[in-house]
Amino acid sequence: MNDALRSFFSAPATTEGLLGVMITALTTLLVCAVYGLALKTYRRAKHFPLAHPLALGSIALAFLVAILYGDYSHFRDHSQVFYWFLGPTTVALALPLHREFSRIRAVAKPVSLGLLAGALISPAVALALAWALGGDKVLLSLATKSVTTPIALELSEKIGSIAALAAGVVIFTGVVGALTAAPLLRLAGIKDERVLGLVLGINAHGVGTATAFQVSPRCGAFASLAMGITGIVTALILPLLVRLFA
Amino acid sequence: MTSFNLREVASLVAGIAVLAIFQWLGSLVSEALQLPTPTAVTGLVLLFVVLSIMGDAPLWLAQTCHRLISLLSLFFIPAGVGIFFLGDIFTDNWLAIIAAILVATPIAIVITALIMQFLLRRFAK
Repeated sequence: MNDALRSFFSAPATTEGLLGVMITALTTLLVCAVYGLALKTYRRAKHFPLAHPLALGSIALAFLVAILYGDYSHFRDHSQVFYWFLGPTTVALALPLHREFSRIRAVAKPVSLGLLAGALISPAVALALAWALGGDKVLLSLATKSVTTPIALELSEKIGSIAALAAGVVIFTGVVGALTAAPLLRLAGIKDERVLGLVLGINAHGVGTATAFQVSPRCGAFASLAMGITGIVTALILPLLVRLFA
Repeated sequence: MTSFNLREVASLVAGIAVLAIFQWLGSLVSEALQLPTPTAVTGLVLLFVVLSIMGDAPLWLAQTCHRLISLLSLFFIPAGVGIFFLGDIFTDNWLAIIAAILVATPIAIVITALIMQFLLRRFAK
């Protein structure tokens, strides 16, 4: 049974006709089902960052892919629908950004300065550490680690990093950031909700923003703003830096 | 099927079309100005500018934006799976990768938090 399943799913994407279409349709259903279950678990776990559908869903799906497809590239070729939606979703981020922007006008100056610094500092820390530990070949894939997922993926294509690595690093950076931000700020004696939100958005993108909304709507608003600006700033600056140094 | 559902689906499709058009416009602008930015990000900035001029988005577009953003995790999961199938790239660089995630993230959080706190206090009137 298992072998039959695997030989079915592991047909290459170039498979033409009905079979190829069927595998693509089943793959799409499979991803949606895994996401649905992961989302349910996340709600059950009261939005605990480790149970975020991005983390839980990609781990669960990785097991299924290993069993059913055997090879990641077959799965990737049959799940292109999802990649297509990342583009329009990135554009859609303009709306919350626009709304938050007009709401925080009073602190626009310090916040935009801080976001600019943060968008540069958080990848710089990761790059310095990874470089010191001898990870020269993966540096580019780590540079996008704090950026919201669709932007990170597009950027990785643009700067020529390893997309699969960049995507995974983004997800788990988000989880680590969402888990550690609040305790770390408490340790540092920072009680300002705005700072917590901004830091979550800069360092932990969507996963952090979800966590920030658990704290308070205000914290969440600052996090969404930070996530959007960090994504844009990184998208503008990173390709230029890569061009300069590579 | 009520007409209400049909209307919702229609506005979703229209919304996605508008966003895709902005992405396409983004690619035109990126190409014309030789920007190294991803096309969707250029599209984001264009939509942001248009929204700033208009004041706010029409309801159907706003609904589409919220719907898509709430499904962001779903769209991204297939790409996220890739990290478990890296093979040599991961085994050769595992220490740097793990450190970048587990160690650099908390360090960056503390640094950015201190900067933010400083700036907010400095500019507070």
